[in-house]
Amino acid sequence: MAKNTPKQYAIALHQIVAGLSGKSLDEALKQFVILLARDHKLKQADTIISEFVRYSKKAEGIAEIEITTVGDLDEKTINKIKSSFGDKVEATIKVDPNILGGIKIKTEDRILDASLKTQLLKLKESII
Amino acid sequence: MSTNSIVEELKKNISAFEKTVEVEEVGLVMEVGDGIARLSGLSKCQANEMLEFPGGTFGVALNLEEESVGAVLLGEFKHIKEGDSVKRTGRILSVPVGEQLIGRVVNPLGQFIDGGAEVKAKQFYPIEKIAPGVMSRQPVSQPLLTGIKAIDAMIPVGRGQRELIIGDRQTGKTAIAIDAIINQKGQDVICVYVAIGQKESKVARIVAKLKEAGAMDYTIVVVAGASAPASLSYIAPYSGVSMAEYFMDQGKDVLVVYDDLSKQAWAYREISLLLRRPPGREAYPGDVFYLHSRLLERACRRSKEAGGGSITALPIIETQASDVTAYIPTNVISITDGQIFLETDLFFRGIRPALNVGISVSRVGGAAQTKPMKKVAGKLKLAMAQFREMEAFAQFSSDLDPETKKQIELGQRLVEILKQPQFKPLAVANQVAIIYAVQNGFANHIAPKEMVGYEAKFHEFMNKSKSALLEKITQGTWDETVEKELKEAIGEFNK
Repeated sequence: MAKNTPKQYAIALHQIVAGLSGKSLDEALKQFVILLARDHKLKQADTIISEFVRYSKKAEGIAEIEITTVGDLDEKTINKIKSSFGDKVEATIKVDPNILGGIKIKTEDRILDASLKTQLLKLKESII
Repeated sequence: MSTNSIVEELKKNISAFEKTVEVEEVGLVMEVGDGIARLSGLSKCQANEMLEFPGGTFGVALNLEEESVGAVLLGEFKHIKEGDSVKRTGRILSVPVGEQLIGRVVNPLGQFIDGGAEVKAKQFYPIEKIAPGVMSRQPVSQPLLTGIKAIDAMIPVGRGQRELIIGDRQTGKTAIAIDAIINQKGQDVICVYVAIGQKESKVARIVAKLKEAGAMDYTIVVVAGASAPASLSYIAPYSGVSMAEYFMDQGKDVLVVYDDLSKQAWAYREISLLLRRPPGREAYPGDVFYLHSRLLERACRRSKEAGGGSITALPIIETQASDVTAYIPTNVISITDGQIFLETDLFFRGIRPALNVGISVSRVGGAAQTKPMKKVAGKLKLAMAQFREMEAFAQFSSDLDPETKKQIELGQRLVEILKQPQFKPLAVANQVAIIYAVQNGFANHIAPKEMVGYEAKFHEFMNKSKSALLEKITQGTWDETVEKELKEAIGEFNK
């Protein structure tokens, strides 16, 4: 049998704990940890937790984006960007002067690059 | 040009430039090492797609798995580390093709490595392409002359054929292929020599030899050296055949030499094991047959309706201790249209090229032989077969009946004239003439050991004073008058 990946454990955990609370949640978590111990997966607990967070956000329809800018953005602009990615968006702001200007938005496995640096590079290519 | 006009032009260029948001798909490197990388993300990645790693290194996605993508790196990978981002390019691995490659030495990615001028390619071909189908092919009908007497007479190769050259190390496999390339001079054939896992010094020597013989004017050399990563050795034959396909699409005939495919199979085995594909026989992966069959199927003779042109393939396989029953040799033997066997003991007995004519075959080339060659070759094959049977008795020569003795002597003479030094390809008309002369007893007064000198003088004489007759034979005419003229010419020489 193929070994289970951290993602599979995370999905399993998500399905089990959905809708549980209080004592039954504690019991479910305890059983899950016992299962991990039996499968020698405790070492990977961190990965499983981060997979779990990612998966549950996805399941609830929360999109995660990372916005890279040169300086700080005001609340209005951030909200405008957020709203174009859906209702529930969690944004992290990163400041990187290397992109010269504009913004770069990273979603799950795509990068929307509207930075000045890339635009200038493209302009260079089109002229030469 | 004034400053203003420069400014104007720049303005025009800039105004024509459209601002677009670049959308990139990226993944992360999870692990890297031994020339392969495992990546997360890249959920829309295609099989065989080129991926861009930081630092301008490219990779090819080979394994698309549930959680990850396995890729081989084409080049330097020391600077790549865990967590680096990898971009999709959306391009299937392709190589530049075109006339600018002729006379150049390139690596399997089509980059020039001979220090010459960079020429930008106008066209790219994907390295993996489905071979032409049944309806666009036609039977082999035109000879591809190697200039080697033993091969052109007994194991003829036709344009569009796949003829395997197989033998142990140091038996002259490469020599045959190089001679075949040199002999294509003036034949309107483009040659592609693919060196896989070869010593760079050997490749340098071959390139120098080809230049000296004037063969680089129509040859492309693709090199994945012994120090190149396995991924480059793996793709080298495919990029070679893609470059050849460009010329076939122009309706030309192309000769491709893969030197050698056993090293390519090793490279593929290495990659497969690192990508954790299950090993099979001799630790090769399950699809090692497909590795070679899809490559060699791309050699073909295309029908006129489909555009014409042909690709002739001369794959080379190196055996270990003459073991042709190993996995890779049997695979390739079954794919090709015949094989040329080279043997160590023949080589050391001085029979060079060290062809074993008994087990070498050409399954389709016979149809492509010219009429004069066909006439002489039929008898030659028979005489050689009889000689092999009786060779063992040769040492009791005094006790033999005259008939047997005659046949043994004829065989010895034939063996002598089938010897040929390297880089000395011979025109087909001369081949016919000398074989005819020996076969019909015109050289019976010469001892087998002295055949070499006799042959050299014979060709000299024929080229000097009988060029009209040779021209007729080259054209493919063979009737009683030609035969009579040839007989007379030989008689004249013998005087």
